Formats: sequence, C-alpha cells, structure tokens
Amino acid sequence: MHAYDFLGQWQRFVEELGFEAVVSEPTDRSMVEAGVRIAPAELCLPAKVFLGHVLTLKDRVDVLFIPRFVCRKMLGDRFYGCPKAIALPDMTRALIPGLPRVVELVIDERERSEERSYQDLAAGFGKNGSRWKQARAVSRGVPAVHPSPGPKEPGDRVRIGVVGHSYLVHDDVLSLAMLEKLAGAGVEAVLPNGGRASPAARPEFVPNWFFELDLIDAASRMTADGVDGLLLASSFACGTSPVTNNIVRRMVRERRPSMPVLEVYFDEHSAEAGLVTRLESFIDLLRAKGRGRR
Amino acid sequence: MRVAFPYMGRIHVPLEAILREVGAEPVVPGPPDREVLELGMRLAPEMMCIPFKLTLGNMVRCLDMGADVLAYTSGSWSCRYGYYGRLQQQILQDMGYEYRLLDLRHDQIPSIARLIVELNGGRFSRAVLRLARALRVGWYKSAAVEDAENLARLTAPLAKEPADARRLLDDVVAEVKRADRVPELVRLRSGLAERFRAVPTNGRERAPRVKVVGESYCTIEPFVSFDILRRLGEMGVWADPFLTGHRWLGFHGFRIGADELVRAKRAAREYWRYCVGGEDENSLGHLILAAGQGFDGVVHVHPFGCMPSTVVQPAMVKASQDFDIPYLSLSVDEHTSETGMHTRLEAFVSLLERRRARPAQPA
Repeated sequence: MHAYDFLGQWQRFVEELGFEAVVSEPTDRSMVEAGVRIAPAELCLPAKVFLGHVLTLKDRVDVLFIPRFVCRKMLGDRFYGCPKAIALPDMTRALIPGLPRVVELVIDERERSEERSYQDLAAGFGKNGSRWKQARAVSRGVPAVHPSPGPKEPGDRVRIGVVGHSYLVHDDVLSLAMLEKLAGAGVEAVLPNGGRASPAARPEFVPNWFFELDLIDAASRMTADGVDGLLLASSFACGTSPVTNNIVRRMVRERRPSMPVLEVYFDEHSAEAGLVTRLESFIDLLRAKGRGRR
Repeated sequence: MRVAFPYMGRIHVPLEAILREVGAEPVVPGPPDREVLELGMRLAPEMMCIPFKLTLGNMVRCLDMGADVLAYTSGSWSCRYGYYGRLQQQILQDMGYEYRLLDLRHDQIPSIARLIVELNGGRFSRAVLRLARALRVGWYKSAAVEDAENLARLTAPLAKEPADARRLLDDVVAEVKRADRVPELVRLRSGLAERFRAVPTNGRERAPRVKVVGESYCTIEPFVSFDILRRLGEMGVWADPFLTGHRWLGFHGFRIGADELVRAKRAAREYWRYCVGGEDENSLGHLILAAGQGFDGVVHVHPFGCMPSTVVQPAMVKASQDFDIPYLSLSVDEHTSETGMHTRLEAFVSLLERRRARPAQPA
C-alpha cells in the first residue's frame, strides 16, 4: 500500500542484499476481484486490492515482503499508521492460507530507529552483519514513483489540489484513472508528497497519523498557494479520511471560504461515468468562477 | 462547574458520585435515543463510526442542559476514538457552543489535578482527601452495579420470566444511585445474590454460554446493539461480556483485571502482533480464552467501518476455526435494523443448541 512512495527503495534494498525482487504487476481488474472475494466486506478498497496483489505473488516467490508502518517520531510527537497499515501482515496471514515465509519491515520508532528496522529486515532475509548498511545507503535515495501526467492541451489552465493517499490517486484502476481524466481536461493537478513528507510546522490540530499529517499539510499549502479548487479523493470505508476531510474543509472555510471543495469516494462499485460527470461539473464550476474574477 | 462526559451503559452511576464528591456538578443527559442519534448523524461526518455520532448527539444535549465542561478520555494513537474530544470540539464550536474541553490524556494529569484543587478553594490537602473519598464511593458504586449486572445476566436465561431479572436489576441500580455512604453500599452488595436467587426459575439447569466481545462502546452501551446482552438472556443464553462499565473505568484493573488482560494478550499473540485500538487484541484473546473455558460461542459487536474491528475480523474467524468455537460478527450503525439483528442472533443460538445436542466428537 505504500508502494507508490517506497517501492523503488525496497526493491533496490532487496537487490543490493543479493536477492531477486519480484514485484507484483500494476493493479488490474482480476486482482481487485480476487481481493474483494476474500476480504471482509467493510475493508477499504486499497487494502482489499493489496490482498489481490499478494494472491498473484504467493506461488511465485520464496519469501513475501510486507511492510508494517506502526509509528514514526516527527515534530516532537508520535505519529501512527492507520490500523489497517499496522495490521496488514496479520490480516494477510489470517486470510490467505499457504503463504510463503513472510518477512516484515516494521517501522516502529517507539522501539527502534528506522535504520535499525532496515537492519532487522536484512536479518529477516538471513543477511546478518553490516551488509545492510551499504544496501540502505544505496537504496534510500531512490525516489518515489509518482506517475503524474501533465495537462495535455494548454488552454484555460485550472489548478486543482488533489488531496488523497498516494496508493489511491496514483493507482489508475482504483481511482478510475482520475489523474489522467483531469489532465485530459486540461487541468493541472497539484499533489501531496506522499508518505515521505515531514512538514516544518505542525498544523493547528492534526490527529497523530502520519499519512494524514502529510495530507493536511499539503491541503494547507495548496490553499495558501492559490489553487482554484480542492478535490478530496478518499476510499469508501477509509477510517481516517472523514477526519481529515472534516479538518481540511474547516481550514478552507476559515482561510478561503470561496474556494470550492469536492469530495469523491472510491470503492469496488465506483463507476466511471459517475466520476466523469462529477469531475466535469467541478471543472466547469471552477472555470466559470475563474472567468467571473477576470 | 457543570461537568458532562460521554454517556455509556451505566458508567454514569459511579462517575456522577465521583464528580459530586470532588465538588463538581455532574450533568447526565440520560440514555441515547432516536433523537440523539439523528442529531449526531446530522452533525458528524457521514463516514464516522457510530459511537462518535451518538456521543456527539449526547454532548449537544448536555450543553443544552447547561454543561460548561466536557470530559473525554483520549489519547493519540491509531484509532479514531483518541480524537473524539478534539473533533467534537471543532464541530460544537462551529455551532456556537462554548465550553471547556477536558481531554483526559496522560500529559493532562497536572492540569486535571489543578482543577480539582481549584474546586476545593485552592486547598491541596482538602482536595486530596475529597478525591480519595470520591474514588472510594465511586468504586463501591461501580462494583455494586457490576455485581448486579452479572447476576441479572446469569439469572435471566434460567428465569421463568426473564423480565423479572431485568426489573430487579433496574431496582438495584436505582438503590445504588441513592446510596451515598460506603456501609450502605456494602450492605446492598452483600444482599444481591440472595435477591437474584429469589427470582422464580424455569427448571432448566444450565444455559448455553456466549462470550460477547467487540468494541467497547458497542459492548457496553445497549442502545447501539439493541441491548444484545438482554436479548440473549431472553433467548435463554447466558451472555458474558468481556468488558463492562466497571472494567472499562479501570476499577477492575487494580484487582484481577490486569492478569486477565495479560492472559488475553498472550492468547492473541500468535494471530495479532500490534494492538491498534477498538479492543481488537482483547476481543481476539478473549475468543481464544472462551474456547478453553467451555463457552458455546462468541459474538463480536463492532461499529460499521471501525478500522481496528474490521482488520481483526479475519484473525477472529481464523482463530474460531482453529479453536472450534462458533463465531458471529455483528456490525452495527445507524441503519442497523432491530429485526435483522434479532434474526441473526436467533439463528446463531439455534446453531449453538444443535452443537450441544450432538454427541461429543471422539478426540
């Protein structure tokens, strides 16, 4: 689920240790369906699809790597992963019989530093000693994979801040290629940094979730930066989104009450036509407002 | 100072007494109802969990009754529950309500202590004495309610009229509310077993036993689960919740509760490595313990969309298969229908009865 932010790093790390890294293919409909079939109904779509990815990998590999993001220390406080991210390996083990050996990367800075976690990860792969140091040094600089298509036709340039988790907005199957649709309409999409960001200052009230810290911080910068509108893209049954969206809406109401905000929810039943209609009308609204100003 | 706190089960009985003893005026709105639910639904973000909506609606009622301090237990962790107080403050402030938020977190202990001293005219020793007395009275009240609730759950399935057990419980709770001195409460408590024994029985010897686990609010507050504990009692089942108001308040923790918690955590360890909230680890641990204690089944009640409860479900299903104990998961929200709940419970109970009737499997 953190693949769009960290996949490059992890892949390089594993290769530097001397293993072959097998990465699941980009999401497709059959993975979605396979995940949905075995997952509890109330799980969010990205977690269901994660299970779909595991199913395609489990018979092809000797060791399965699953990250577990528990706690990071930032801004003098502790920030946690969402419960689903924390329990991901446990849930996977309970749902999928016949898994290969699972090796976890546990990021829990209450107990050990991030560097130490990578040392433990290497040990999990059977590589003790200091080999991890070099692997980490080489891999940590690998950038995030954020394929973001730019606008295709120049024209009435509208800028929309897209506030959503990278594992949703960058996955074209989950988000029904929302970013591409925006680009196709000549819109410039402004995106958050993904799970890597560490903002300079803490927003006024932010719950202690590091992914949400990134989103709230990004929304606040976008608002100050003068985007024309905010698009809040969330997964249905995502537990943290209603909290984040509420905080973002409140922030907009205080700082730029005239800026339009659209909330869109995605799940396995989302239909493309519904999304297109909503995006089109939102973009039309922003253009009309823009013309009114000039 | 008029203090309100989220209403849940019968925790107001001891809390009311404690607040009064330390010199504050408690505001207790009465149990949630349809009106409170609708208020909460209107004000809360749609996708928030049901305990948030109900407590929010109830807090509006408290503020309308003149509360000027709202107290929440809180914390900063992975579950949404830790942020209830601060989120509700944003919503309530936007509505124009003014109050002081008392966020009961570890780092707030000094300011809470100062507040209690302030309430006692700035006299520290007096504040300490009153607090000690308050906790003592609170503990006895809480323990009396706990005992009565336990006895009622044991009595109902074997009673000729399950409603008799219920009526007796209501009477006892009213008496506990009225009693203000410890000796009175001690006397009341020691007579409870006798009083429940006097309820006419239906002649059955043993009722099937069901462990009820789940998210705290859904387990303790009857409104949200259509009073599942009582319902099971009426169906002839002894429902034993893993968590009660008494335990939730931590009064239990000083005694045998801590041991039990460690046992539950240890049992869950193989399936669950990190506690993420919503009593996930506890629920799972208690399911496994229940299998070893001869319970006939486990019912798991949780809010729709609750993050910890959703992720723990697959592990609960797996453990229930490994330990061969029937498991029913009930997800509740504002749209849950009472009839639907009832039907599922009935089906589950008849499954348990059939299992008990079948000959024992050769080991």
